[in-house]
Amino acid sequence: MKKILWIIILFSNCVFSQIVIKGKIEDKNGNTISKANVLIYKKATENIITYNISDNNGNYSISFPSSYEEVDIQVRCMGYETITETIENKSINKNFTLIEKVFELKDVVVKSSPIRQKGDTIKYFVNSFSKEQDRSIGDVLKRMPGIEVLSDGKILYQGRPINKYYIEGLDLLEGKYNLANENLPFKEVTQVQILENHQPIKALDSLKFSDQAALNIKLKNAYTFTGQARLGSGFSPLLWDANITPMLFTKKKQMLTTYQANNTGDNVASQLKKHTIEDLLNQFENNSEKTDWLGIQQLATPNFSEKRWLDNNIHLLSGNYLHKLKNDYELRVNLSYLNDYQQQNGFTNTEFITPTNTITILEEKQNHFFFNSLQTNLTLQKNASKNYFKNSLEFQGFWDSQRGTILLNNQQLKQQLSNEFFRISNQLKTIFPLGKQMITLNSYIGLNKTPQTLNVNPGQFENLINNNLPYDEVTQQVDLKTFYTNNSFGFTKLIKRFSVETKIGFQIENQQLNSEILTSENFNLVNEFSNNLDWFRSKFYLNITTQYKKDKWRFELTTPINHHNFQIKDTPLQSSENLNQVTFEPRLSAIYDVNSFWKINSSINFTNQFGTINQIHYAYILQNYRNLQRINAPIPQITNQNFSIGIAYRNPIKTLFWNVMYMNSKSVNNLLYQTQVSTNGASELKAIEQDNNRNNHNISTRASKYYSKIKSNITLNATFNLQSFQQLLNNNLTDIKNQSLVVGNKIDTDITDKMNVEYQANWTFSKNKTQNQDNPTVTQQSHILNLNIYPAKNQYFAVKSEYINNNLFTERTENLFTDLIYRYTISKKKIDLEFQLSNLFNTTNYRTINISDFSYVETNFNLRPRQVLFKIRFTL
Amino acid sequence: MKLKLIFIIMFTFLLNITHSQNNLKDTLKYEIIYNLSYQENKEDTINIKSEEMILKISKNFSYYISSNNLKLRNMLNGLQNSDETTIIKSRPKSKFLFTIIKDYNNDKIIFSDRIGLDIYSFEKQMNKIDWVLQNEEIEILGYKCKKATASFAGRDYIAWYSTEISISDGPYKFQGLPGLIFSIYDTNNHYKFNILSLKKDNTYFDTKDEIFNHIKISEKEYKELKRKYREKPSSMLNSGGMTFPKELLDKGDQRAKEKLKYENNPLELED
Repeated sequence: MKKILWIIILFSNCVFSQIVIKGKIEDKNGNTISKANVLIYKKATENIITYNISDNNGNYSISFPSSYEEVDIQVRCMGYETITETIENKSINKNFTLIEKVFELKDVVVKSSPIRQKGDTIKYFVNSFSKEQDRSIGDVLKRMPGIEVLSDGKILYQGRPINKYYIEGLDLLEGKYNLANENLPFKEVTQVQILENHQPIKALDSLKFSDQAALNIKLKNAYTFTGQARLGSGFSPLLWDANITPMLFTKKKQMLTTYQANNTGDNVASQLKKHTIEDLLNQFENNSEKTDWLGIQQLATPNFSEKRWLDNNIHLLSGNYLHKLKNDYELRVNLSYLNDYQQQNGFTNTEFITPTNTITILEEKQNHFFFNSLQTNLTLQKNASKNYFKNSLEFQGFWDSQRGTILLNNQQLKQQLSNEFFRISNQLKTIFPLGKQMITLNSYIGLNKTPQTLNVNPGQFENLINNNLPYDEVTQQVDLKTFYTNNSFGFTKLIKRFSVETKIGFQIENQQLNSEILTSENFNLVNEFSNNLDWFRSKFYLNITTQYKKDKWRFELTTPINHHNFQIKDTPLQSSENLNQVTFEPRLSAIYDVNSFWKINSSINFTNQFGTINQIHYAYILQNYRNLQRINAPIPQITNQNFSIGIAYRNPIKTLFWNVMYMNSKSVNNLLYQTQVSTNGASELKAIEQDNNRNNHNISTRASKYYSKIKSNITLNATFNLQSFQQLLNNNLTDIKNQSLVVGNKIDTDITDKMNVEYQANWTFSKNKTQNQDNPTVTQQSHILNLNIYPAKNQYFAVKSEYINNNLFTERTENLFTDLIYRYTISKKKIDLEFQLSNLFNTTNYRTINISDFSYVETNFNLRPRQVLFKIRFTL
Repeated sequence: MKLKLIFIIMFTFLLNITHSQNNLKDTLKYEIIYNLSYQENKEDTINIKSEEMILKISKNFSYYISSNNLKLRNMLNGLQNSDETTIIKSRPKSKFLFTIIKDYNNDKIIFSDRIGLDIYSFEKQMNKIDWVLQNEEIEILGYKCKKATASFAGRDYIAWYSTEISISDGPYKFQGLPGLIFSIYDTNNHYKFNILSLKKDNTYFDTKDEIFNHIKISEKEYKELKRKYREKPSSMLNSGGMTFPKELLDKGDQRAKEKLKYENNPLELED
């Protein structure tokens, strides 16, 4: 009996176990329906036994083991009525015809985001993201989804740089937000807000779409005081390095101050420089940078890192203060004071090559530079929904001076310079609506004063100045007063795929140059030695920029029309010049993306350049002790024609990158300059009116590939430059050709995860051809070998070496520098300890050789000796 | 002469371009949003991140993308045809930069991912997931959902699907159930997809716009590329013309490596 039961069980399993139901699903017109669900249920229940989905031809096939007598079969498809039937449990062919039915989807939403989202603002609660080892708000930011902090401190939201970093809605630091991000402890912060699609200028909010986000830091307390400090010390001679940066935030006021001082060769003054492109353009356009007319004879500085040779003693104090006023107004004050004392020691050997003879001068130089400057900026800004207004009043004062002693062919020569500079300027930018257009108005007004004096003892140029008699002292005084204004208004129009930007404006520049040469013998020199120049320049401009973008093409055409007017007059010398000219300076650029790998770009432009006041002065100016200059010439005018084309190939799959770029520029200059060197080495610059051409070809290429097997990145690069021009050498018109070839390579290998080696080499070959006569090739080599080791997460060790070899004619110089760095971070307390040993082999002297068209200058520069520095960094 | 040469060069390149992609396009039917919460590091159970993921469904295909990624792409597209005069160099990045197109008719998926500066695409057969149906039921968003379990790429999953919406699809590469997946999570709770919203969508969608600029590669090449990127991220950032300071790149590499080392808990543990 038992046996029979077993047989039945086995039998039923074999025969009845696998039931196959298959068929076709169609609609009532006979079209097959794919992706319909066919489900088999236990009869009259919701329990699914199995299912199948119909294929492209509407066929389905279900096989299932079953001991049930009957099952429910259901056919479901979106947009059709569901069919349910009860069928016998046996293999059959069963077709279905579905009837169309509108399916009403219940639109449902649940909202439960851990990050609170409100309009365009996303809020992150700092507590839920912070960790034990975090210190600054920047550390926590890195962990917030969507936010990224790059190694240089730049913050990205969703991969795009943020456009503003606010603290409590106020923009204290503008682009320098890293100062706050790195130094503000996260414990002071309650919330980080991301303002998506943030348009910083409220007046443009609805007009100009912004796809960038801003970041706002909400503080815990209404009053927050915090900051960071770094202290370092070392020896030979006694070294120090300090950086103390405290800050204060309240609801209405924000303040960040920094004091930095060192004598380790770190030129912290560069922090005061403006970094955004807009600022740099303004500086160039507005002539607002300090200019020096006079100078002491300097040493040519080495062409490697400043930190190896700069002998400084710098103190920098900078304060930034922001105060919120009523009616959306903000007042910001930035104030910086800089004091630096730099020294230079060394000697130069100069050979002036003239067709008749060679003049040699050996100078031993001891120079002292004193920098003393104050910069202030007072900005009032209103950022309201209707209009935007920003006014900056700036004052800069430089009380700089220099002192130099030269041992010239065993005779002592003293130079004393006072090179002061003062500037006061006001810049206004406002945006307001006019009908449907938004008009942008820019206005700049500035006043500069450059009172500078140079004393040289004993007196120079006695043949010119003192009837060939030696004398005690010569004094050069220069005073330049400048008034400059630039005003423009502009608007942008969109026409389909074109965007047209129009800008109309005018510039006026009025300068007065007064200079005088005085001697210890004679106070009343002839007119030849004093300038009383009146310079007036105006420019009216209309600039239209058209952009066109389609698929893979991008074009930009700029068509500026300028009207220039120059009026230059020196009444006592009875010299004057006038110039009236209209220039058209078009520029066209095109970019074409061929495909994912290839890209081509090209541009062509024409420009006109006019001279500035330091290129025209009818009487002599003693620029330095052996350079006496007067330029009695028409206004210099250069017309340029530039062309460039570049091809780039990027194949990330093969990690192969290559590009090549060709540039050509041709220019016509209306003047030729001649330097006349007299027997004592004094030189005089003269300009002669004669059109001359300058032609420059440059081709450069670079290729790099990453080899995964050896974990190495290899880069090769080469640049070839060919330049031809004409020059007057002692009254002879000479054709000059310069050629230079630079080839280099770089290998970067990860030996292990914790060790990295980098080797970089560069060779420069330069050749010069004067009047069909070839000069010997000059070869310069530089090799860099760096070893970086990361023994643990909180440790870093590096050995950095640099080898420089110069081969000039018969001369050969060699230099080797090696530095060691070790850094240890105490994670818990967030204290960094750093040990630096620079210039291990104590290379104290560096020789450079400069060759110009008429001179050969060899400079010996005293470098910073071997030094040891220990640094500590902590939170205030 | 110079110009002639340029034109010749340009033409040669133009000839190289071929447009021959039979792409999927249709009016969309539904848009489903899932909240994905995930644990990046196996041990670090505190650091749970989340992102919204969108599944767009049409008759013959579906498109899966991170919500933030989609927003940024739309912005960039808008930008190309708008007035913005500034050329934006940096491009969008979100935690999930990949997209998945499921081609229902051909049982294929087109997987696209951004590595470094470019997006790469490859095609492959749709994964066959062996679902085991369970009888348990719960209600999500007013829909009756049934339980199913399966293994996928080294993890065991529990899924809740509704036969009321007979779309055999779900988030990521999950599909093949007799209804839409409303919720799916692995048994370790490292990856959890929960439906947030469900709505009709009548916009037209052309996958050409999505994959037009992508670099087509094979799955093998993709894996190789991904491996290289993990090995030395900066090797992908080479733009050809610019050189970056070494220390910056090293720092970036070190940081990225650390980050990648920390992110040791991907959804797919095995191939």
